[in-house]
Parts: sequence; structure tokens; C-alpha cells
Amino acid sequence: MSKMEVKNIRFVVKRWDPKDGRFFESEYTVPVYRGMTVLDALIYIKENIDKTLAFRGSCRMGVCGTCGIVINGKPRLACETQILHLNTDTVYLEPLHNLPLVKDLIIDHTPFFEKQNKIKPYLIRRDMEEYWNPTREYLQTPEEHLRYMQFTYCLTCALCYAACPTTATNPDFLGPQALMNTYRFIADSRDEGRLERIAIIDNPDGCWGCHLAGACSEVCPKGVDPALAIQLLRREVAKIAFGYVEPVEGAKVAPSLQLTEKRITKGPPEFTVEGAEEKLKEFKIPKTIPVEKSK
Amino acid sequence: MKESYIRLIQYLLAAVIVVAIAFHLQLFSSLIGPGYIKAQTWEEVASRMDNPFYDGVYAVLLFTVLTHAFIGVRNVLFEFITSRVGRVVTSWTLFIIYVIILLLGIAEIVASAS
Amino acid sequence: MFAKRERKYKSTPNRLGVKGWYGSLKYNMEKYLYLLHRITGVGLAAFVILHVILMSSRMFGEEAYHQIHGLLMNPYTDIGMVIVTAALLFHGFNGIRLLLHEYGILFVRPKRPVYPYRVSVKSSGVRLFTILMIILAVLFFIPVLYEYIIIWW
Repeated sequence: MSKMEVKNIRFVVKRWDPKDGRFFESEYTVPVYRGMTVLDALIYIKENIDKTLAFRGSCRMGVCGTCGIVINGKPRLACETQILHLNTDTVYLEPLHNLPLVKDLIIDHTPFFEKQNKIKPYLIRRDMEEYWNPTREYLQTPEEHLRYMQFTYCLTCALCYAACPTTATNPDFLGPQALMNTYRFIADSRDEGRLERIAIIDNPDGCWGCHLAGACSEVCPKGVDPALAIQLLRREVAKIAFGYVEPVEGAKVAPSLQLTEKRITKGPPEFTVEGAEEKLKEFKIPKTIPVEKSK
Repeated sequence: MKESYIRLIQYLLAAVIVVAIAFHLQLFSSLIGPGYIKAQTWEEVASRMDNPFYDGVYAVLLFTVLTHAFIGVRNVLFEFITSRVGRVVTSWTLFIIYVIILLLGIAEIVASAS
Repeated sequence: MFAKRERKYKSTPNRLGVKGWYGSLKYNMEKYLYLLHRITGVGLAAFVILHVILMSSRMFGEEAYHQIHGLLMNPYTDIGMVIVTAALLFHGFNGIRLLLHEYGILFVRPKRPVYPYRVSVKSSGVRLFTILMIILAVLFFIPVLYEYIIIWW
């Protein structure tokens, strides 16, 4: 490794002891080089200083969303946080708030995912025949896609859930991610389950538990903006409460491709390997593989 | 009642309060009203009691502000009280307090109007 | 409303509780406006109840009114009234912002997330409106403060 400027930074880790059911703190000093992330530091600690430290991490590039921890009082992805960008000599690490703890920095995502499942995060269609035996894809224009595209970038890392002030006091609150996902499906032109979903979220534990603190959007590592989705969701709910119910016709199924079908019925040209094998044995590979016309 | 209706009421009342409270607060300003000291003298209070316009403003304010306040307090309490029974009890307790205060205010307006 | 299985998570020791309302003082300004809106809201609710009860004295005539009013004639009440007015102005102007934004009015539209992400509450239009509302609250507070200062002079 080439010469690198190394700075010693103190890491204070708030750890959960599941045996005794209490928190305790451990301190480590890590030599930090330029470009080192918090996850790198945690891996360094585990390899060189303390093998008992438990944390989770997988992809190291902000895609899997499993290394979410509270860094210096704010939920962040450990793999996307540059230590030197924090501009502190002491980095304080905690497990994510508002979620059950497993060990040290590891939290249990179960209630988070259960709430996501509550809002039926899948396309709901009326034509069950097509739903179970799909012939082709549903049609959607790029403009219709853009209405919910931003909300499909979610990693389910639960950072928003840890930052939300309502989840901090109300354990039944669905949370920013589940509500964002509700809007993602309501805004989807292929979906027909709008009223079904609104019936689930139209209560103080649903979309009305949000008070636009914007903390969820602030911490989101992918710019998904749950705060925006929840406000737009409320608009939809209010429209229905006002009696302004537009009939929602789900996107149509694409017409079957006549041209392709004709081509397919002809079938692909059948290869006979006999001639090719002989030539391969002679190590004389032809420029084109000889093909016999089928019938 | 569906939560969305409660919230709609909450927001509509908020819009009404913004207008109504302007009439109420101008009393305390010496620029457009009698001023902080003068507004609290008995003569001023008695003259407002005879004025049907202020009776109207008071009636609107009383209803809107109290309803808005109790829905707001209910929203905050519901974050701590998550059980179904607890929420029903909270709602009814708040509603009883709300009705008592509202009746007191109505009695005040009626007495002053007559 | 949730299944029994989820009830066990209620005792999650890492739940922040009321501390989560203000967090670690490292969040966006809307989170603190939210907290202030909540505090002023509960405070104003208490004030309104007190105000209605105290002012109901006037229906018993001049003497009853003077009795109650005499109790309130002290500098502490005046300071309290300044705080109540400030709270009311903040709650009102921040409320206008919430009223519009919570129904997606004067808010942003979903867009392609391109790095660096500019989320809704931090986008320039929404931020400007938020700051404008706070400035308006402060501007309206100036004559109020002026009024009280005249009395104390």
C-alpha cells in the first residue's frame, strides 16, 4: 500500500448485551485513512481489536441496506459514511433506534417488515384470470412510471423508521417506509387496490400519524423521500373522504404480438452437430456452422 | 368516525381560526384597536358584551378553537395510548371536558348577549 | 390493531420515546418546527381552557370580573401573555405551512432521484415557503412586543 495519511480516531460503540439485557460501551482507536468508511472501521475493529463486536454489513456500497446504524446521533448507512467527512475525533455508534435489538449493533427488522407487509406491497388486480396466468406485461407510459419511480429505490434499511419522531413514541405507527410503499402502489397505474389500501392506512397509526417532521427524508440514503410520498398519500385519502373518487382503471395488458408468434411457430432452425463435430475433430473450425434446413 | 374526516375538520377549523383570531387579537393593539390596557377595562368588556358582532366572533372562536385544540391534544395522546380501549376512553374523556368548557363558553356568550 | 406477535416488540429497549421528538439536534429544521408546533399547540390548548374559565367571570357582573382581573394584574401575567402571543403566532403561521404541505399543495412532485439527492422538505421552494412563514410570524410579533413594551415603560 502506498503512503497514506493516517489519522487516529476514537470509536465509541454503544453495544447491547442480550444476556444481561443492558447497554454497555466499548472504545476503540482506529487508524483512519482517506476514503475509509465506518463499515471499514468496524471490520478493522473486528479483525484487529475486538472479535466479540457484532455488526451487520454485506454489500459495502449502499445497495443491500443492512448496515444501517446511528452514527454521531443520526441514522446512516455505515458503508456510505466517510469517517473523515464527519469532522470529529470521536465517532459515536449506536444500534438503530425504535427497533428490537439482537446483539451489539444488530437490530431485528421483523416489525419493520411486518408493517410493510400490512399494506399489501404487491399489485392488486381485479381480473384474477390474467393475474394468475399472465399472457403479457401491463402497459405503462414513462410519465406514469415517473409518478412512483422515486419510491421504488427504497433499500428497506429502516433508517427512516429510526429517525421518525412518531415511531419513537407510537410502536403501532406503520412508519415512513410502509406509508411510502402504500403511495408507491396507489400511484402505480397498473394497480387497482387503492381503496383496499386506503382502508388500512386511514387511521392515527397510518398516514395521519405523520406530522411532516421530514426526518425520514433527511436520513434516506437513496433520496427516496418518504415525507413527500406520505403527503401525496394524504391528498389521495382526503380526496376520497371528500367523495372525489375517480374510477381507477388499471393499466391494460399489452396486446399479443402477432408477428413474433408467427416467427416462433416456424421454430428456430435446427442444428445438426454431426457435420460440425467432424470438422471440429479435424481442428478446422469453419467460419459458419453448417446448418441443415429443417425438412 | 374515519380519521380522515377528523383531520379535515381539524384543518378547516384552522383556516377559520386564522381569520377569527385576527378580530380577537386586534383588541390588544393600540394601532387598530383599544390597546392592551384599555381592552381589559370593565367598560370595554361591557361594551363588547352588548355588541352582537363580538358575540358572533366569540361564538365562532369558542367553537373552532376548542374543537381544534381537543382534536390536537387527542392526536398527541394517541401516540402514547395505542390500545383500542385506551383510545376510546381517551376520546370520551376529552369529549366530556370539551363539552363542559364549550357549555361554559356558550353560557357566557348567552348571558352577555341578553 | 396489530397481531399479538408484534406486541412483544413494544418493550424494545432502544425505542427513543419523547426523546425521539427532538433527536440529536442534527436533523433538518422541519423536525424542530414539528416539536415547537406540538409544544405550542398543547400549551395553547391549556391556555384556551384557562382563558374561557377565567373570562366567564364577566357574566356575573362587574364585581366578579374585577375580582378575577385583579388577580391577573401582575407582571408575570404580562410576560405569560407575551409568550402566549408568540406561541400563537408561531402555531398559526407554521400551521398554514402544514395545512398546505400536508395535502401536497405548494409541495414538490416525485422526480427521478439523481445524486446529490434533494428531498422534498429541503428543496428550495418548500424551504423558502417555510422560512417565509417563520419570517411572517416574527414580523407580526414586532407590533405585539411593541405594545407590551409601551405598557412596561
